[in-house]
Amino acid sequence: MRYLLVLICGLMLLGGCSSSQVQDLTKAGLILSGEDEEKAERIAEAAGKAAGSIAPIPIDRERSIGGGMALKSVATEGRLYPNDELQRYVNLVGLSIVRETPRAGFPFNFAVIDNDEVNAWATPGGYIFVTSGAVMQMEDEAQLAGVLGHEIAHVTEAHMLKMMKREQFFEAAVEGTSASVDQNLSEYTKVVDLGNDILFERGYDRNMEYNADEVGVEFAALTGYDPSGLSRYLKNLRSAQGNTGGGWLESTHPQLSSRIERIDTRLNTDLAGIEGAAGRERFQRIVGAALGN
Amino acid sequence: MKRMTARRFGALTVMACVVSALAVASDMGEQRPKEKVSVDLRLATDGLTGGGDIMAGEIVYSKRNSVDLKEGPRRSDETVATLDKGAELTVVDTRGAQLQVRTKRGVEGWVSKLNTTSDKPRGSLGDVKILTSDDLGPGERSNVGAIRGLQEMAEDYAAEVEVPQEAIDDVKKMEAITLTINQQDIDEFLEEGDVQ
Repeated sequence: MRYLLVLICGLMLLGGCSSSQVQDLTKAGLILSGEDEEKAERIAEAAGKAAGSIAPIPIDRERSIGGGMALKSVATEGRLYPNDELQRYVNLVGLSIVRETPRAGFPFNFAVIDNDEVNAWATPGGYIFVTSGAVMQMEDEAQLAGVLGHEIAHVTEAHMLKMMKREQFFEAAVEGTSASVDQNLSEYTKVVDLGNDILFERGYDRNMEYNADEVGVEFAALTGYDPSGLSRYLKNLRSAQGNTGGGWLESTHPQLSSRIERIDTRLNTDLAGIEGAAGRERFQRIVGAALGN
Repeated sequence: MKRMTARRFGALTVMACVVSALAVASDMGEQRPKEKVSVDLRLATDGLTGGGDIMAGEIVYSKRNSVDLKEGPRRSDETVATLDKGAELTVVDTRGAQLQVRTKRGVEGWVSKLNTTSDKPRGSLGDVKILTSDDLGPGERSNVGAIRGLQEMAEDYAAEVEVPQEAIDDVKKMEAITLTINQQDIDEFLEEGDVQ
């Protein structure tokens, strides 16, 4: 009987139930079988936690996939902008933010790409890029922090890996102890190509972009930056492109206006009264010297 | 075949999960104390309401994993515990953006309200699990920090798809720049920019 019951629980997990769904079903089942609600809640919480105990993807595998995507990014989008002070500066801002995230201590790398188009992107494992075109649209360090916070959030929330998981081959290729990306170049190439297709063609789900905005703004604020940085940057973009409803970023991101509206609502509610540094002087000095802005 | 009643199905489901639940450690949302973080935190003061005011007695939840619960409201204060995503916290007091809270196990400390939410975070279907700082023991943390440089498979891929050597050199340079930055550099950078 015991083994049958464990089997049933395992089947729930294999059936794709998340830990919260296991928790909800357990609580419902307990109440159905006559248990009082408080006790049902406690036992269900433990069951949910047990269900959540799935082995995570090792960081070297994440870095491996991210590294391949980074190589392809630089090959197709442009080389590193040739200014060492600018590159170091962007890394300092980015690494400051990483310290406030659940990935503090993990490897992250940041780079400005020499490309007039406005764009920024992140790969699994923490390779993060922002174009010189995007930096040219910024006015202060808080805006840079907002953009980097957004990209860091894509990594900490595992958005790319979650998008990839929709493909049938993902589980065997990337998850589990004998994932084929570690050994098989053909499978590895498939995963990297999928990732770059999501980055530069399809885009993330709209809700993932909104989530990255929300979490990224929080990360920047936790670091000590003015939380309005990302909103002000997006408003700069909207002004620059004339709010025509298409253009920079919007082939792979939700419309600028809807992003701005969501961020501003939070700034006026949950985040009201939270102050931070704008860092205009340092930004203008370093970026101005590098980009002639 | 006899139809299973809702009551019997509920009982079977519950018993299956209880077997697993009994194997789970008793800690619910808290882990061992972490090392001290050496970054100073500016308190949000004077005239700051914190919007959607959080009141003493309210229940909030840790919004993400690896959230530090501090001895005091300053960033430089000792960490007394780290919180898992979803950890339930009772608000005891507020000071600007900092909340004094009590965990379900009675541990008190301070947490930024930016790391909390009034709605209990839920998992999502098809979640992918990645490592966070809290998954690592002290020895593992230094190992993770040392995972740098392009992995072998990435280099094989570069050769296979004929990534230009200059692109490979650029990604290696990107990694090398980060290696020149240590925690003290970051502390000084934040201090110079008055980012606290």
